[in-house]
Amino acid sequence: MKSETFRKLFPLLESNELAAGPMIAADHLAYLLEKPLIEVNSNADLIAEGLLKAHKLYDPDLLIVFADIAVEAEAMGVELDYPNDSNPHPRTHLKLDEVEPVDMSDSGRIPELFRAAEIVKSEVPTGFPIFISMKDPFSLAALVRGADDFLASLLEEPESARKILEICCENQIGLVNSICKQGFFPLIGAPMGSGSLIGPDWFASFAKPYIARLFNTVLSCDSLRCIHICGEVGSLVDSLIDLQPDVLSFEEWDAGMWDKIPDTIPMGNVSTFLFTSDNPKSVEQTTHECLNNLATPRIISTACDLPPKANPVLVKRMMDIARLDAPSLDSGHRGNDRTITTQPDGTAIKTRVGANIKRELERNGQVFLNNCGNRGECLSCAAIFEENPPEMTNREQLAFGMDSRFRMTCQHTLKENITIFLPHSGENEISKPLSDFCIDGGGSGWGIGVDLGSTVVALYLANLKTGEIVGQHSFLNPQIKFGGDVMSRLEAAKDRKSLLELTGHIHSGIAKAINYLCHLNEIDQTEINKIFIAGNSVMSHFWLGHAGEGIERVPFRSFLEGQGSIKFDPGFISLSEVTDCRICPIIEGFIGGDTVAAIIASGIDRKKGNRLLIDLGTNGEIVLANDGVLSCTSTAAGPAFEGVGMASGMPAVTGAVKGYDPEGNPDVIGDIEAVGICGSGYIEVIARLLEDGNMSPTGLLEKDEAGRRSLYLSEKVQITQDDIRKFQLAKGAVAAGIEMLIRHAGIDPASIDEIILTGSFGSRVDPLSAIKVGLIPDIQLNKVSFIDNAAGRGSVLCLGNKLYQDRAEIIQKRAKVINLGETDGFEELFVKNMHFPGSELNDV
Amino acid sequence: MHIYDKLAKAVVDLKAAEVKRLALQVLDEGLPPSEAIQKGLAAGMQEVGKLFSCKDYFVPEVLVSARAMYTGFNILKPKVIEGAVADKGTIIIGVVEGDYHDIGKNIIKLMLEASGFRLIDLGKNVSGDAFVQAVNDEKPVIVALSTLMTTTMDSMEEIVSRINKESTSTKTMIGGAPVNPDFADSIGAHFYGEDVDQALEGAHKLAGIEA
Repeated sequence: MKSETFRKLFPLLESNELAAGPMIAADHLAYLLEKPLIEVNSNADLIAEGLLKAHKLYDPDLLIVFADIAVEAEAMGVELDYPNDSNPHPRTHLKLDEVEPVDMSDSGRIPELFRAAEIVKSEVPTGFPIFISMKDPFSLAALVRGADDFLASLLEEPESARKILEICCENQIGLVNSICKQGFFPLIGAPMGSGSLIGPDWFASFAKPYIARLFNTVLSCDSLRCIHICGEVGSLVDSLIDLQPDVLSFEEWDAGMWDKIPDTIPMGNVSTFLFTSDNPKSVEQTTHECLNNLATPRIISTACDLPPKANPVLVKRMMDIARLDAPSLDSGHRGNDRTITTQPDGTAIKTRVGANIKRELERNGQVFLNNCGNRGECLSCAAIFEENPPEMTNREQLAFGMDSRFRMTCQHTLKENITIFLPHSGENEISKPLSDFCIDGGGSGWGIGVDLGSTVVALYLANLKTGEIVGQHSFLNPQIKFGGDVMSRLEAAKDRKSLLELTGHIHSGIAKAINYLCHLNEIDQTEINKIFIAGNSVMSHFWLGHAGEGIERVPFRSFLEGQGSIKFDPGFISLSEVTDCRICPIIEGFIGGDTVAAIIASGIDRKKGNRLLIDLGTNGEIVLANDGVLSCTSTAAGPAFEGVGMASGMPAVTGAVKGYDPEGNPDVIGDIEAVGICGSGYIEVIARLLEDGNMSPTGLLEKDEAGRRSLYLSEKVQITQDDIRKFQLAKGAVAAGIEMLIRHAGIDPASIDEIILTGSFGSRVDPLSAIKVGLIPDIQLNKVSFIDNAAGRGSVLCLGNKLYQDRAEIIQKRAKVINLGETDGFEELFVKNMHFPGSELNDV
Repeated sequence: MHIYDKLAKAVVDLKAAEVKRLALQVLDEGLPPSEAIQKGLAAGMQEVGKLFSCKDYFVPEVLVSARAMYTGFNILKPKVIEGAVADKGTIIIGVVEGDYHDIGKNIIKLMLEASGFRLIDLGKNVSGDAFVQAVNDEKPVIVALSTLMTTTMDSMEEIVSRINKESTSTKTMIGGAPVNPDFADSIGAHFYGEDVDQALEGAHKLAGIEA
């Protein structure tokens, strides 16, 4: 509904989610034109010139023809004073019997405004939305009669007030008709009929009925019901529910309001006071808030019309923030006179000057594993600029070196045509199917197992009767906009509104994915009988609408501990109440349901011997089973194992060095020239450096001819001393965690019977190299194995048989957690394990 | 090579046994122990700090060299005549409440100590009360706070503001992965140090002395 409205209003935009543009009256136009207001506000040519100048300057998605609020009162016969440089105001007001029906479109300055709108229309692309601002009957009546007299008359002689309103309404109905017929949109402004000024009751009886009539006219013209209400609108919500505006422009609102008018597109509400300062920070911040607070589709705009002397730099800033930081960029209607050519596939993307390069790539289907929220801090969007690379940011200089042609695309906008090489092209191996796998059948209907990770969310569709896994679907966790790591999301969740959004995003993400899976497999959603979600600990909290208080700081404890598998409301994901919906128990703190599910999938809780399960993610969980007795810990390894933060780091996609081939040459995914190194690649490369003596066991790289401690694997791919140090921190943390568990269990490392690696990185790593760099204990290679999608497997197992769910609860109760930070001797183990095997520095 | 230089080199080379031998030799030869501490041990640690900053050395090397340094320090310090070593003042250091990560703090601590400050280490997960108590007891020139997690930054903010209220003569400096100069400004901390070098420079500046 909302999206249809949006499409109708903005047929040229490619975005279905966001439009942006400030509200501007003649006074700011005069400022832009550097002319006195009195010359501009009654001159169609100058108003049009000003609007076109604003169009060029601010690049808005809509324009509003708006002289000042007195235009229609004047058309009805009110005489105005025209000061040189401020807005005209009524000199007198009309008496009761002087208020008469008028053909508005032919009176006062209104014909000039229509002419201005026509001029603008002829200069912008067909379909670009142009509004003509007009008053609601209540505000018009107040202007015609004088606000004091009119408001008093509501109480004293409501009959005559209604008579005036009636006439104003008829006049405005005529105006609405003219506006719509000429292909413009009416923007009905209610400066007097606001919640702050007259309150909900007066609004309901004296403003709403007449607005409703204007809206009926709008509908009969097949146009859109767009209204701007000054002041506070939250208290007017009951009236708004009746009015059902298509677009509501507003200054202040209440949190719960939008849920009650779900079909209304919000437009607003960057405070106009901010634009006269010289500080862009508050404009940036408020624009961000609007982006975060207003559900899509929305129109980012000013809360009211801009002050006359609004600083154009700040207005532009609002527009830039709205576009760059919104989930998708719209640029369809602007002159697409620039091209981004991406290699190696050769795709040409038509776009415009000033477009954010990463956004353009995303609009064209490129998927980035976004880890930093477009702050230029991770390297997931890096690309090589074949010629004329833009000027480097400081961070890029540090990350890539002064001479590099690598740039982070999120940090640059387009100036010239460019050709870039995208290391990420090709298939994204974010999750593999479970074709080799089945669960206990004998049930009925369908079940969905979910691995709810902080980066990737994977769903598996199981036939509960046959036990087959028939489909899977994965998507990037939409919460990523609050930051890639769980800590920044926990920080965001402290704010109630952000928490609602964090929870809402993932609910709707999974609801959509379920819908998609059902559609693909021709299953009716009502046949879904079970859902079992194995979530990362923090994700599990957000899923239940909980901010995770306590988990983010010492001693890292959670209210979910010991609670078993928790049932949740199927309504979260639009399923019927008969569906059995549960989330997997978490163990403690950061050791979540995904670890429990992985333990179930690995079976180490049911086997004899000493077995290690190691998840090599950003938060590396390690579980040791000693004849089925579980102890576990979580280490903050950081993202180095995913290649993030490394000079040539990249995900395991085309162009990434993933190791060495049998001849000893770099083995590149997709057999093309290497453009970077992925996480598993780093392990092999570093193992090789150590073996060849190019790096000491302390981690010190040999100097090259130029005296730098870095080494080029190929022309474009290098490994730096800083990379090695980051790797050492990650590796040291995991290896120390393993050693600590082994020490606590009182077993001999040589007696380990099995090491199971899991995690997106763990499933690709070479065990020999992992042993060589000291990441895992030195045991026979045939004792090291992998499980892909361990948490996903565990979650579907729990769907098939209640026994697995019971096991999950037993694991929650029995697993012993070793909190490394509290454990004596961890620091020493950590420091010792930062070095590579062969270091003489064993006794730290 | 002068014996002080040999001491410094032994610290840099992570050779505790060598440091011990040289420290005893210093006493044997009747050289002033305060000079040996400054020109030998502290100079060596300064070099270690430089190697750490340029990433030639890493955490393990720093901690092992510190161990070597303390071996010599414990031999020489008791023989120092009172007042012969300039006292640069007291620094209280700790990881703020809610956080356990203290390796960074430990490195800064020993670098400051090696450069001549008196360090009082409150450890990790330190409450505002504990900081304030220590400020009142010890009257430090500087309180240095660190945290590694974004989620404990508000804890840092609270503690800094309490310290600032408690003692106007005490300066606060902060460090750690998630914080930066803007954050320091916003919470009223007097200095932010990105690394060992900056922390040393900042501590001297706050204490009003030449490094």
